[in-house]
Amino acid sequence: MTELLHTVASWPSLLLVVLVFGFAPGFCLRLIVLAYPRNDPRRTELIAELYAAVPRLQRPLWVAEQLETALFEGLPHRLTAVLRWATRPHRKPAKVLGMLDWIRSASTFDRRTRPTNQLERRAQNIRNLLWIAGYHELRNGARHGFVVEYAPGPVTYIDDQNPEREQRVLARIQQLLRRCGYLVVRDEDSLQVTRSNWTR
Amino acid sequence: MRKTHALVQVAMALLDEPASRHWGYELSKRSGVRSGVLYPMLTRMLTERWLTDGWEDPTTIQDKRPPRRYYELTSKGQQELGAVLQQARHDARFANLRWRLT
Repeated sequence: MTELLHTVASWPSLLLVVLVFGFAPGFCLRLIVLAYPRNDPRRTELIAELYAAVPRLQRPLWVAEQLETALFEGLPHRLTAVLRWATRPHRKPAKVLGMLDWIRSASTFDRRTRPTNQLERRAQNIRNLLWIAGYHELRNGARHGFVVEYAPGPVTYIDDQNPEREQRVLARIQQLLRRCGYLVVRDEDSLQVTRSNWTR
Repeated sequence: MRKTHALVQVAMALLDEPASRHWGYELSKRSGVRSGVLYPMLTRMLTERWLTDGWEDPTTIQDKRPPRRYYELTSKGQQELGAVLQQARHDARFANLRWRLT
């Protein structure tokens, strides 16, 4: 009896209990709800239910039930949404002029704001693309004093101190713009952007 | 919607308190339907407009958690679920539930 009590009260047992009833349910559920589409209210609903209503002792089994449901119900919807996005027939046209002015220079570039995943998924226009490219590729450059300049026609990025980075950034922007349906002609340090192949 | 034991049980739970707000977990407990079946059913009921949903007022939440989602029966839902229960009373498949239907 003493040995049993000793085993139950030992540190490893305590850690196991904390893990199974404390940490694991919330952690697993947050992973499970990712199987639902991004805007599905079930994501928030299940997490709220877990913390607000489900008794701690029942949480592991309840979370396991959610895994089953998510696999058979959420995942197909999620895959369908991804496929629909990837094979959408045409994209909305974007106004090139004006949007390029939006990110004018390194000094006005807001480095604190990260583009959301949703924005990345809806990278339909040049503004979003430049935002994304600007965040991922130009942020560090701008911080170190590189010249970042956008003009209405060409997209220019000059990095005298690091030509390799310059080429990399231009290649990245070119890739993003082409994926959006823009016709992009690349010069040495700029991209000429037109909309000629915008609609299919 | 297909008439199943789960639907009848949920209908009974909802019609016990037709005017009040119903929360997912409590509904699961009161109806005896496990959550893996209940939530898809609630989604179908929302699609059919038998239910409406809403979110808990965040200012009333004291814990650090997202607001809960609640469900309310619509008048259409009351009629439809009432009809489901009415039919279930005379259906041999739901004989084991009759003690709750009366």
